[in-house]
Amino acid sequence: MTVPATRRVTLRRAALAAGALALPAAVRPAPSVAQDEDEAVALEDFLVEAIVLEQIAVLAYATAAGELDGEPRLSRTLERFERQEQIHATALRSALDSIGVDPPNAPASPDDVGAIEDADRLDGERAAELIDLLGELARLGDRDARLEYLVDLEQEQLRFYLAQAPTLDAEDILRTGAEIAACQAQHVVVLREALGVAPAEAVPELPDPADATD
Amino acid sequence: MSITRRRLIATAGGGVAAAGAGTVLAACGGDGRPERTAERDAGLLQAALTAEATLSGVYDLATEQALAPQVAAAVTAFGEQSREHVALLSSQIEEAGGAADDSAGPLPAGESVVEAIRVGIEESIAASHDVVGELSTIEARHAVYRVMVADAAQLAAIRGVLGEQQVPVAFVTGAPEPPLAVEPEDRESEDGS
Repeated sequence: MTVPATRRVTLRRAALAAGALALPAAVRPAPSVAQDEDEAVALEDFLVEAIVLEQIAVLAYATAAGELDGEPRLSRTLERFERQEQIHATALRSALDSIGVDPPNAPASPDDVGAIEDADRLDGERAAELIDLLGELARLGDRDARLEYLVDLEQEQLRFYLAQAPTLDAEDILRTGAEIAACQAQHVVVLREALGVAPAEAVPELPDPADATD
Repeated sequence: MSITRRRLIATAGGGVAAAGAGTVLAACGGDGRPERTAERDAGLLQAALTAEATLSGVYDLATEQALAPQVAAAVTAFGEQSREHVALLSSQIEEAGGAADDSAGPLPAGESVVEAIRVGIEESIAASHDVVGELSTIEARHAVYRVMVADAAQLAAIRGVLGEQQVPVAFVTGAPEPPLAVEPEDRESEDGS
């Protein structure tokens, strides 16, 4: 993290004062500074993990698209999904940057673990899981293994967005998180259909809302 | 220094990213937002419920039509999922102290029943999208997230049946996608089947 703590605190407080990170001040009954700080930290944690996942997805789609020489249409589709994941990552990086936190670097390859290790706000256990997820990309074999990996990666993103985004109070982030998650769900359908799954069974499994709030 | 939807979309760049977001952008920002309360939640959730109940009605109608086996299987599965969404939203309205009305609105028109389904799904996604940022409880937001995301997946599948691009935009709002968002060479089903 290269942004000095004092700048981060100043930017966070400025954003909170503008009612942008969380709800407008008028909406809540005299929130304490501690509550605002908690919300800001939760938002930062959410954005960092979301960005790491999106950036792994960008690399995964780019890799898969480049290895489908015999299927130009599917390759083009994966390239479009790569662009869509990059659009998500760019939007989220902008959001994080605007509150004075340096976004995590994008991994350049499956063994670029530093991109995740250097990301502040990720706890050690979660960082290790994401490093495993990234590293798995180097060990994939055939076409179907790559598509199944992408399905699993999209499902991981869906679990994350559905569990974490609704806990945030910022209206814009709530809406944007839903829009991104909806796009990820659509990716799952296309990937599964490319694996030969019928449309009726291609929709993703979603966590039960009761489980998500536990 | 702020995170706003306008800023997110502008930074993401490109017409694809901004597709369909105009209405939302126009409604964003500024003061005077109403207070988040359980009472207001009930009304917001009712709007999402009516759209989902309407979609459920379209699926019910579709099950009476002669459809190709693979399409009929999707209609049956998605219709069941839609009924679960109606029950989920109804329970959230009751949690918020309201009385759920699961009546369907006017069924959407289409040149075929599958196109009517697509319109119904888009309208349901748009209704969820409209309210998800304004709900007061995490539980209500979880429910609407689940409905919106599942509907989006159905939309991709139905677009595939119709031979359309299944994921034309990076941010799904439920608004009809502008033609420029679709690349001509990719108008067929995404996987080329």
